[in-house]
Amino acid sequence: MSKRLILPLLLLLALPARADFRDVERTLRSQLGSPMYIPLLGVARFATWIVHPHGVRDFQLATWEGNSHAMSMGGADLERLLQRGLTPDYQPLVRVRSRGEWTFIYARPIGSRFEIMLLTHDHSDTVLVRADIDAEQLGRAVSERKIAGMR
Amino acid sequence: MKKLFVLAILACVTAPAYAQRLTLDIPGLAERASEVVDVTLDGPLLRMAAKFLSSSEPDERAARDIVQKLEGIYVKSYSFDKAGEYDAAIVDRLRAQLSSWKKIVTVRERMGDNTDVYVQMRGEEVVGLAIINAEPRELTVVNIVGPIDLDKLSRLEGQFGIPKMRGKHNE
Repeated sequence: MSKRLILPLLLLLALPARADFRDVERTLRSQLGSPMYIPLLGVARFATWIVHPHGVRDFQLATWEGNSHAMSMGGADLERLLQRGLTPDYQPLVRVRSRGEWTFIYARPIGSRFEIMLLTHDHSDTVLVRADIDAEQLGRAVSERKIAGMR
Repeated sequence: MKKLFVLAILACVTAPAYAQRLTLDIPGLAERASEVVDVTLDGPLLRMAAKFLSSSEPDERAARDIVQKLEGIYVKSYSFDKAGEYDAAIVDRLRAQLSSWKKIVTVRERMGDNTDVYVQMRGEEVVGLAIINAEPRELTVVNIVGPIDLDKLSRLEGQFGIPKMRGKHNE
């Protein structure tokens, strides 16, 4: 029993609370309902926080699947929801619309790293990702072709 | 999309000092396009993007030096399901914004692919670069704001997917 308590407590202490992600997620939740439960996502995040694979220091993820309300939402509505939860230092980096699919990437620098907030949406599925990335470390990984499919 | 990537990299690699930012939004065009890509890379994020380039590889270091001096890289690309879904007058309106710029490259291909490269000069210095790539089913505009060293640009031909310009028909 004590082990069951220790792991969640450890995760709570180790993982910093991210107001921006939570704010965006809360805004989306008001329109799309609760996101899907992803088993062991917290453990994966904890591992990322320790290992920093390819310069990724932390991430958060929320997904909504098969939501009928999402079908009626346009890209402009979604971007408005996204912007409502972001602090002003986030800048739009990429916007893509392709046959009913929308992707928005906002980013902000934080010291030698940068943080991205990615929102992608198609007819029924919506995914929100936040990642805290070390640019130089990721750049090195790309240069050394450690990441499959890049370069 | 691959061409867009090449153009964006070309823009990153080439763009220099303080130039005019173009108006890349074309009213009504996004609604007709099957795919729209809008990239905005400026300010602190542009400095951050430079860190992706290695400082140990000579070519990447040269590209990094160029990118660090830039003010912004802006790309807008529209793809269409069928040829002729956008009005050629749109391209003329884009070119009209560049009346005070110097056109350095014009490529006209039989299949209707047209590419124009413009630079904005301030004295001897290139301070802005614009690329308009108009194809029957795709329109892409790249605008780089900031000082650009064309000598370094030529060193980077054939690197990072940047096409070799030799063999193209210069105007």
